[in-house]
Amino acid sequence: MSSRSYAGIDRLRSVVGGDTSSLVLLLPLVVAFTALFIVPVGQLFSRAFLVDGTISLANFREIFSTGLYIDVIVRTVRISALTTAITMVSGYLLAYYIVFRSSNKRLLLLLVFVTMMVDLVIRIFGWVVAFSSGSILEILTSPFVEDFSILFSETAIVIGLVQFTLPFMIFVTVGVLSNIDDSLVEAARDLGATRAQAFLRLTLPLSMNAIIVGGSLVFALSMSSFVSPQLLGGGRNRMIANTIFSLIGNSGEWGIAAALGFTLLVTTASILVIFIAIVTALLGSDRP
Amino acid sequence: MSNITLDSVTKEFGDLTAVDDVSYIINDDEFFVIVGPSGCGKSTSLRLIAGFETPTSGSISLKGEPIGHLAPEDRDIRMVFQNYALFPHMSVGENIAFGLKMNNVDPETHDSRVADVLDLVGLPDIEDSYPETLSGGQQQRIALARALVLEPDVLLLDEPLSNLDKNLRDRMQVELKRIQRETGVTAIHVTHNQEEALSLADQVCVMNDGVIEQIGPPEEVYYRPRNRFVADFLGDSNTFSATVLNADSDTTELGVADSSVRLVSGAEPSDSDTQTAFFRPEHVGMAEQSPDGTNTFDATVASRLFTGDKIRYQLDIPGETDADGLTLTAFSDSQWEAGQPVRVRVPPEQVLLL
Repeated sequence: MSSRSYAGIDRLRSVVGGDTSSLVLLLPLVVAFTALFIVPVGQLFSRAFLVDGTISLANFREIFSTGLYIDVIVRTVRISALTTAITMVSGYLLAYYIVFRSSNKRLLLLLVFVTMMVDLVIRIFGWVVAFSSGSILEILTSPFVEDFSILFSETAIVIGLVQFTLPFMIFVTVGVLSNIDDSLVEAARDLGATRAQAFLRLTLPLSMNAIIVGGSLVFALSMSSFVSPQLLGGGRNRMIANTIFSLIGNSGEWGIAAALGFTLLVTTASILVIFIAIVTALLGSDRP
Repeated sequence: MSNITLDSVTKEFGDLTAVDDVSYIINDDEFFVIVGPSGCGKSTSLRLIAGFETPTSGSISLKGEPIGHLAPEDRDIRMVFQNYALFPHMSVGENIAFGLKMNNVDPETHDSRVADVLDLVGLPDIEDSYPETLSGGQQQRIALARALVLEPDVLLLDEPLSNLDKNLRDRMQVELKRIQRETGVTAIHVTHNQEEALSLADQVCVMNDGVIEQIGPPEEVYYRPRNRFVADFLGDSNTFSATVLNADSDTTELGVADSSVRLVSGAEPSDSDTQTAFFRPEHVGMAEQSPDGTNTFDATVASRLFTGDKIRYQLDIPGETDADGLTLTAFSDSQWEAGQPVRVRVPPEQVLLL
């Protein structure tokens, strides 16, 4: 009998834990993930490293020596970071309100969900209308804003992305906060902590996963966003996804497009690793 | 000296009155146990004293000072929660030191105070463990240590033993009592378990439907219950509606079960026509033969229930005039079979009128 295959199963078992029959449950995911993600994306990325049939970094050299591409990457990171900061703070506060302060949690969650039921393109077109000259928004803000020209700016993109990503942050955070036992905060208060101290030392560290998962989700969604910059950013404010689209759609530059896609993946992953490390360092331990 | 005083405290949640015009005084160093069925207002009482709820009306004072308006963190009162509420992301040592930090106690003293209080609860040297790695009994002791390290005036215990198995619960009762004696802390303990209430308390407060039914030392509330609710709630009891047939200077003759059984009580009847006759099952005597006398009846063993430390019998006493008669509960060490005839005696001095 082949002992090698047993060793392989043992290794898998140690990863999955327990009965190997539970591996069957993983099968659909593994098949789908391989067929639908790893194969096509792997094929695409292989183009990034192949120039005229040989392995080469020429595509990356092209990207990092062209001001246009560097601008696009920097802009993408800047917009995504700002979006993530705004969405994380406002989403956390909203989720906190829904879980601990509101009297009708279900209704509020339903309202958050309703915003996701309209297709993203329609929602973004809504902003295009709202940001156009002569819109209700312009009339309402005219006493305070002199120059109403949000459309085709980074601000417009950030507003669109915050609207798109906010429900994700809220749902993740509501889930985590709902699992924090009320008696923990009461115990902290009982032991002499003020409301603020109880929040900083109990609620916030115990909801670290919401910040990590929600923040990562929002950041990754923003980094790879396409519709919001395409419709709200105009030609001058392209992000990476729009640039890839036009590289392939307009000029058939598959190699540079693939290299840019790979750069997007690596950039997003690197920033998330740093983000998670910082959050864990700040909230992971009670010691000052 | 009085420590905690509740004066006409009422707490309403919408239409529901959880605590209804409750007043009592708890003295220094006392072990005060509030007992009652779920929903009787005992936990709300505790939360009012802790400061998690504010009274709708009435006042709460600690050492003569009103505290009803103070936030929980500003009261020198600490609570042990039913689910212990240990902070899962902190070690045992950090959990216990949390209150010291929040109260700006000199950091130099933290380690020694944590070690001292862990000694007190009998769990030395586990500062670095995390709560999830501890057993229920250990978590319970850590929760107690975390409250006691601040040397509070008052310790509140919200059903702390209800999640423990019976053996551990019995041991923890002894421990709780010892720790309370050693520290001299005033303890207010809430439970629905009548045995726990009777064995721990200096004073028992029986609550039902938001009101206090009786307050007194355990022996008093057990043997001299003020009403039928207290009698039935604190252990097994025989309570029967009775009418007074005849009353003289030291005995009262009662008709029980539609006057089909005559029962004599050593107590004086109150003014009302119907009375509740009450006696504890352990006072019922069972014998094969006994001479006729006061409260001696022929009965049949209806059922027996072996409960380990005693045998619980249901005894049927036939009525004089019709077949209904009376069913009473008795405890006995001796063996009787269901259906067997038995002579039953209820000492008149043990029959109370409520």
